[in-house]
Amino acid sequence: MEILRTVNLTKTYGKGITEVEALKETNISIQKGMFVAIVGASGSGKSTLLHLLGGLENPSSGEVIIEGQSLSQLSEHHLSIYRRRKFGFIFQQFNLIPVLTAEENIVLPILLDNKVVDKEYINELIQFLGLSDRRHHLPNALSGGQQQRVAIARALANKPSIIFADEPTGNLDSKVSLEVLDLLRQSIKKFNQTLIMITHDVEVSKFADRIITIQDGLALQVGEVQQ
Amino acid sequence: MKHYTSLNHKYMMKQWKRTILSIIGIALSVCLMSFTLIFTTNLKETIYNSTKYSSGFYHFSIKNPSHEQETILKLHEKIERVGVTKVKRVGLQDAQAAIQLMSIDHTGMEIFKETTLLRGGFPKNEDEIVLEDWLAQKWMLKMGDSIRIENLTFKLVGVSKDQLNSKANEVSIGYLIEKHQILKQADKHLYVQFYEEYINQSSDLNILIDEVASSAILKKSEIKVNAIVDKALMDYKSRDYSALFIFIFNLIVMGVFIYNTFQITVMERIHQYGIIRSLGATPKQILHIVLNEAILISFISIPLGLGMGVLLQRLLQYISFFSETINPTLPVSSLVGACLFSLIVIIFSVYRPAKAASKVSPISAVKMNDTSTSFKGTNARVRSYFLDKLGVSPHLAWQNITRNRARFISATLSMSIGIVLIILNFSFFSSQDPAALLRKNYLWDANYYISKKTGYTDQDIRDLEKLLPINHVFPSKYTNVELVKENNIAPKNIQVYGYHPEMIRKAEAYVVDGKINLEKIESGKEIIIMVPDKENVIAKPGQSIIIKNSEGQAYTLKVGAIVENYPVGGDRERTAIIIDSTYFETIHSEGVYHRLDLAIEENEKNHAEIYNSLKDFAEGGRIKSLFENMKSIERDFETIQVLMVGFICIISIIGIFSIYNTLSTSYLLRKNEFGVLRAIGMTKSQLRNMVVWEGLFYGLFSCSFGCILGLILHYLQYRIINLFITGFFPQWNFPMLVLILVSVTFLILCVITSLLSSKPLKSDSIMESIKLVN
Repeated sequence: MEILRTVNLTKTYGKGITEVEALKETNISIQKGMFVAIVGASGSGKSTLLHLLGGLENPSSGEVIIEGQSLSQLSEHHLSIYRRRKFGFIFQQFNLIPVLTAEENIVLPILLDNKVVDKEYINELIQFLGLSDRRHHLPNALSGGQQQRVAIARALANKPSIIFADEPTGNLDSKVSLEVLDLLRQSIKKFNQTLIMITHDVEVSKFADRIITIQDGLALQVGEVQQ
Repeated sequence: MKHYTSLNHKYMMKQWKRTILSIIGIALSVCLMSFTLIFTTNLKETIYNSTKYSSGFYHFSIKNPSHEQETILKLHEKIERVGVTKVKRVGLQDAQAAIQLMSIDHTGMEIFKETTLLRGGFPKNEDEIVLEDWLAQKWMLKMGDSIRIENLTFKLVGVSKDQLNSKANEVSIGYLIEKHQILKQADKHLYVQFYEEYINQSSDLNILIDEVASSAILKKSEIKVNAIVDKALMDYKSRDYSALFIFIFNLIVMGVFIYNTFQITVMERIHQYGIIRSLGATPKQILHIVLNEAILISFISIPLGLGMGVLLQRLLQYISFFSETINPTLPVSSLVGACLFSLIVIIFSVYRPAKAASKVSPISAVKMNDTSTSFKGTNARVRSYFLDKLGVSPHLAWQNITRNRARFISATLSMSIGIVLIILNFSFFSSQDPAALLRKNYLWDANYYISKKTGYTDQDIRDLEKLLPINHVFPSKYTNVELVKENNIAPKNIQVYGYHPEMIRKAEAYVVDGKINLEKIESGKEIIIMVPDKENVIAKPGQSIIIKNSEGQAYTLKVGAIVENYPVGGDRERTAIIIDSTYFETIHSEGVYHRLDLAIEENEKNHAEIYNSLKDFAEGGRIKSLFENMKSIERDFETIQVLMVGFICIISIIGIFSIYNTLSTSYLLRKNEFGVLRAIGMTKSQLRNMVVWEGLFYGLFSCSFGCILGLILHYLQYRIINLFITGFFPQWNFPMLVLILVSVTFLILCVITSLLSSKPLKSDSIMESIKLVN
């Protein structure tokens, strides 16, 4: 079942001589429950694609359709609400809010949605991610791996349909990276979610169900990984 | 770029808004300080000069000096000039006035500036005279008219300005030629004026006088110091505490503002300082970069502030109430001092943030991507309260404002100072009773008094009671007598008041020693002594004093009681004798009351009518109205209020600048967080709510601290001022309205400031914000 589709999606930065075509016409379709890796060299346009898919940036042309809803048709206010309900984001730099504890960071998207926190689910999440003894710590008291696990928990807190991960293991050592990837795989299976992840690490991409390669702003290879 | 310190210019140009804000903040402070200095200096100078013009430029006078003494004084190195006058008082057929015939030499003319002629010229012949304007008008004299004085006929050749109180006392000076026959046997007076440089050097006028007295073989008792000029001189030389208060307060506010600005500037650039350090800059070089920037800003803002201060003073002088009172001079040394102080405060305030910047480790600074490294978090209960009760936006706002306590405190402190000043100012002006300053000039509940040399009779009082709605009349008689001491070295003049028994009965409330026996006082067997304080008692109850009246007759009077703060018509700072009104006639037989204090039912509507009726009744005598005095003092208070409001506005603007600075830097440093929050679904309205809450928290804390401190200081102000001026604050009122108004205003200002300072963030896209650091 298709969860995400792009139609002639492009993104151009700058104007005149400074104009850069970061993403050329892209048409991709992603099925629900898949782990999709977007790979490519630095500056190839993979981050641009992820940001456009996640509604963090507006496309120059074309559209992103998620579960039949075009993101371009949503106002900024509704897009924000859509994002917090349907998407989870994981960044390379973790990007936790330094003044909130690990648990507060995790429940933040729920609180932003003015919903009652499902404590049972959050506890399960925290336990699953091995953060039980770190839940009341501030980010600066956590290791890189722990911070990224908090970021993953935050991405999963609202039970989103799609998780967007921008090189989530880029700042972690190989052992911790493997742990995080394993957790991500397990969680999308457990909660029946779709994971779209940017990586330039070939080893990491081996975990994916499908790889999209981007080169010079063009989605070159769209295929499923034979595992 | 020729030198590493050129980085300053680049930083200043890049952050031009912050640079301008800093320059404006410092310039406003310096402007206020320089304006205060110029204003107070000029005001003091004007008061001192006008006092000299009204009481004469001389510092002391002596009566009938020997030829040798006169020569020594005229040749003394510290004496600028000696004026000579001869004075003889003559009675006139018209009992309503007297003339003080006076010859005055050229130097004397200079010393008594107020003798300036209004019309005509000074006498050149024996039969010529100059009279004061009021007498010339009263007698309807024209130039050339003849006047008979002591069997001599004089021709009016000039009219001089009225002397202080001469009209009220009904004694005009009549100027004659220098060596007039009529004044041959008259008393000779020398008026001595010191060189200004010696006056400025000497801490006390009396030291100078003692020095001259010893060289001219003058007895202390022969010297009459010009007390008015002496007091004006002391006031002139005294430190102006209100200016000092504004000066210090301003320096503190400026220091906090600069500290706050540079602390956040350093924080904002810490990443860059780390890079520079990693490139090989020494801590000292980083320190130089920060300090140089502060000095550069000071060099622009201090002269700017100085110019603004001078302009402001000139502008106010040009457009307003100061034009008559201020003769503009620039206190250059004070202004230079103010500038140096400002520079020192700026460098001192910047030093700590600069030192912190210099100590930064290159690695940690380069890695640093937010300001949270030192954040310890708040109490779990507080956190849960905010989260549960208020929601996510206030919770985040609370965590944000408390992430750097030093920055939070310095920002709220600068605004709290403004709030404290507003509370103090408005509470002061709303609860003070200016009547308390004037009430002591009137006896008990009187709101008018009239006085004249020739006095009022009992029939006058009865007429007055028929004429006006009078509740009480307090008639008093007074005269000056000489207090003769046992060890008679320096006889002292003392005022004697003759009061009615009902007024003496009121004295019981003021007794500090002894007992009032009305019968004994009425019969003249006992008297009351009024003292300014218990230290100045000339005789104790039971003891006797000897006084001599103007005719040289001596009286021995037994002291019955000592009273303090008992209302008398004259100077309450001087010891006085209170006796029965009837017995007064024994010492000074005139049979009239010299002053009538009147308690009249008066309001805004009938004031003019009452005043005019009394004016007619007083027939040229002195008339004083509490209502008029109040209006005058209220005008003075309004002037002070205008200055205070200006001062508070500047302090508040600086406070708001601090908040703006803090918030805008905080938002800039947290740009990445804003991006993340938006990425995970925070809507713009939630973001705006968070920003508003941050502003509200700053406002709430500033208001709470400012209001509490303002209330405490207001209460102290009430207690302390009432110690010195009884009844100045009739009662202590909780300034609820001021607190509400000031809190609401500052809360609104904080919210507006927070919204304005976060404005640039809203235009950035989510990824621009996140990428800023990533």
